[in-house]
Amino acid sequence: MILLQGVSKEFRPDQNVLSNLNLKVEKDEWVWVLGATGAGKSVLIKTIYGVLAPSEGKVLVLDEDVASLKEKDLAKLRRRLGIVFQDIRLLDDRPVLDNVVLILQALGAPVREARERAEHWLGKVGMNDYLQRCPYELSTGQRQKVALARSLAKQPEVLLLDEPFSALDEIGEREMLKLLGEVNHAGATILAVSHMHETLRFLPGRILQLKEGALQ
Amino acid sequence: MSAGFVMKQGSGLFFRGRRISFAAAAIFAVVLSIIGIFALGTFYLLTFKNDVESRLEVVVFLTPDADPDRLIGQFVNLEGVVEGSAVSSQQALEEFRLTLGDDAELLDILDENPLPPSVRLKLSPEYRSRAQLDALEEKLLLFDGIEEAWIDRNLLDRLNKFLYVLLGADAFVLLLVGFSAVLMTMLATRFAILDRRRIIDLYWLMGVAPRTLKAPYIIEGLYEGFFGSIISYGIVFVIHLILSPLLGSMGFPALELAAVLLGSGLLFGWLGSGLAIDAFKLKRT
Repeated sequence: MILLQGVSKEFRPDQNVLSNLNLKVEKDEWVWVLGATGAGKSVLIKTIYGVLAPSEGKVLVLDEDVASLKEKDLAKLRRRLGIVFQDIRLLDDRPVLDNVVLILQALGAPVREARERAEHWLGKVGMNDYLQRCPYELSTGQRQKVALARSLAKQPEVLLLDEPFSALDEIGEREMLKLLGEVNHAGATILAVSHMHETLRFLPGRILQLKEGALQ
Repeated sequence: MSAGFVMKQGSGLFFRGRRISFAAAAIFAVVLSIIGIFALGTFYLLTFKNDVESRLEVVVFLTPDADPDRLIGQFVNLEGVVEGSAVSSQQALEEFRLTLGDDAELLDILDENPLPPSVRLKLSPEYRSRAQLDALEEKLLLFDGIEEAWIDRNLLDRLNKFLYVLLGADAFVLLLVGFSAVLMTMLATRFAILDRRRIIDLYWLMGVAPRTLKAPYIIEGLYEGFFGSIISYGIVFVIHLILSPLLGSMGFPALELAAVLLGSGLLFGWLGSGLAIDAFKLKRT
């Protein structure tokens, strides 16, 4: 599903953010990569998603060499992936429902189906009462839920999460973990990165530590 | 890719970004009006040329003993000759008298009519070129009883030359103003892209195909060209109405002009937005 072989990423010479990183995430697996701020977690997620190109090494996702893909093939691969960015990235001037519906429509879903799927997943994350609100009217935690619903509505084979619950309270976090558990059980592979070590006690799946750009 | 979604996005770009879209459409209208005015001028000249050509006759002067009817019978068998009519010396003199008007009295001093009998031949439109007229003249001179064949080639040559010059100017204007229209569309599309950069990046990150991302901007360009061509059509029509008292019965080439303006508008809109969107790089570090 996800295979990283000797992946390094540097933005300046001799300053590796990721250093000779090897990682294998199997199908249906749920892997957490934990690390302190600046450990390279977001860079790892972005490299896997094809937003950043590795300086060295190979990144394979769903058997595709991400760095070598052409634009249209990268888009095709991304359609099979779901992602929640650390900075959330919503359309601030469009209602919550549109934030999901428009993406699904742009990915080829008919209007009605897009709306049904959007309502379903926004309901699952508990945002049913906020469908017509714009993201700027929401808290960061609620915005994270919308971003998660947007990713899940794509029905991804692989889900990449960058600090997905950083702004949620404990109850909200447990609810989202339960939902992700269902999604994982239904066949989605999950790779999540977080700095929240205190949540370790109820994190499902395999847990890895990222320190100074290297997995431990 | 959902065609409906792309169309909706493209329409949204055009109608939501009113100021910039309508400014682009207005520039198109000006550019296309210039093209339209040149096209209209060319049409007028073509109509005039056809009118002149339709009146073009070959005048074959005969010897006094020639039989005009027999010769007409032979001439109409020649390629390109549609019909012929005999003009006696007397008829020719009367016509000449009418042409001279008040000066016709001058003819009274002549003892005898100096004008020879003649045959006037009308030609089919496709046989009115210089080369074909030369070939026809050669054939006519081979007949017995022919003194001379006369064709007003100069008028035809002048008209043709003027037409070529105008067509050259048309092509030049089309190229020049077309280029500016394409540049303007490129600029307008660039502004629209910059304005929506964040959204485009988001769509791109979510896996939306580059084709789907770019298509709405092409549609926006086509809209600009379309509305520009409609406005310019109106402008050119008004110009025709203003000129019509001077033009007599000359018509308005409604369909042809609509095709030229709409075709140019859509082409320039597509080219301009297409070039701008192709230059846009999707983020990948």
